Amino acid sequence: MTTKVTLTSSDNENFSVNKEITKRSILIKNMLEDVGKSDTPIPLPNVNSKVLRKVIEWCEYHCMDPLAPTNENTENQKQNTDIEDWDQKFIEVDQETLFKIILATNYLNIKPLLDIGCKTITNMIKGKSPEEIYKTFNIVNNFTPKEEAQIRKENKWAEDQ
Amino acid sequence: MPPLTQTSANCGFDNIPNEILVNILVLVSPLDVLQAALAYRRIADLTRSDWLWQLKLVADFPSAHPELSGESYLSAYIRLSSPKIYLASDQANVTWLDNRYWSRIPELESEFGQIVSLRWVWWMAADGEFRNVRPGQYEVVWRFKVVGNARRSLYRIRFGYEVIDGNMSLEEQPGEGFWHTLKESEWTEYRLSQRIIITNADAG
Repeated sequence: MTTKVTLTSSDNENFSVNKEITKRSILIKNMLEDVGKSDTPIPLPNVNSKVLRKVIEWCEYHCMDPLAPTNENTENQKQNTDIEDWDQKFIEVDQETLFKIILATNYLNIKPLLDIGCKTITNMIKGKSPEEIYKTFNIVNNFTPKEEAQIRKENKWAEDQ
Repeated sequence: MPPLTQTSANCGFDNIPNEILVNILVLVSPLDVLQAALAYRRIADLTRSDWLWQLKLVADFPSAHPELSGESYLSAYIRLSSPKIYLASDQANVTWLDNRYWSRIPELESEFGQIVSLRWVWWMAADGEFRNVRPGQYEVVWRFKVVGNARRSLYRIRFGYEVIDGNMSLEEQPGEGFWHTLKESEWTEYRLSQRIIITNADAG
């Protein structure tokens, strides 16, 4: 029988998860190692149930991936912003959830899923004008024309690329 | 009473720490970074920190070490990402590049991380062809270094370029005499006196 661990979301929902799967989160892995054998639920006050359910779904699908990626993998991840098909479907969520998944995986320390979230944001920025970017992300743009000119001036070199 | 903060209720970026913002910016082009900076104040602030450019440099030019020469990460990034074409690394059209005469070796001092090395020679000719050269002005530089027990002089250097289909060519014999004495283990640079100007009509 596999050992289960109980995770409690910020809205007090309990999730019973295979212990090995929870170890995708370096935070939980370290906690489990520190605590040893214990049936006490692990509270995750920064993650709500909707997001935690998504994160667990990802960890279950990727449970066979090697825990520590090789150097070669990390290099590839850096160089391109491609996302595998399953992950792409998985991350097709509303923007609020996307940002919450990024924050949750940063807190839980699940680097591969954090990378997928960051790459998704990256792909939403690429090739867009400032207007398109602030509309896409609901940013309140409050630069004065003078500030805007200053930013353009400082980064003029990037336009010559 | 007006609200104290002006941030919008549901802009996801507002809750994202700088560590993550930087990770996102590392993955996009400098032009995309500029566009994002013009859209969002915190990104504009990040473009002023050497931290962002250090991470971008590591991601895009892993063999560059500007800290060794005291150059800022931003200025190294600008220098390395400016349009540049080069022969030594992966496009060199060098006769006998088969490890018998010429071989490719890693070289930390090179901004490209590798160079081609010539083991021994009586005479040599190396040339390369660049395709899809973007419009702009280019300096033509030949950089080399003699190491080991080689005789540290060169006789009759000829060095030039030709723009194929662009009807431009230039060949120079750098230096005064035919004999050139070289310093051991130091890079020597020969630079053509004129820059090549590639116009839109020549590009492609």
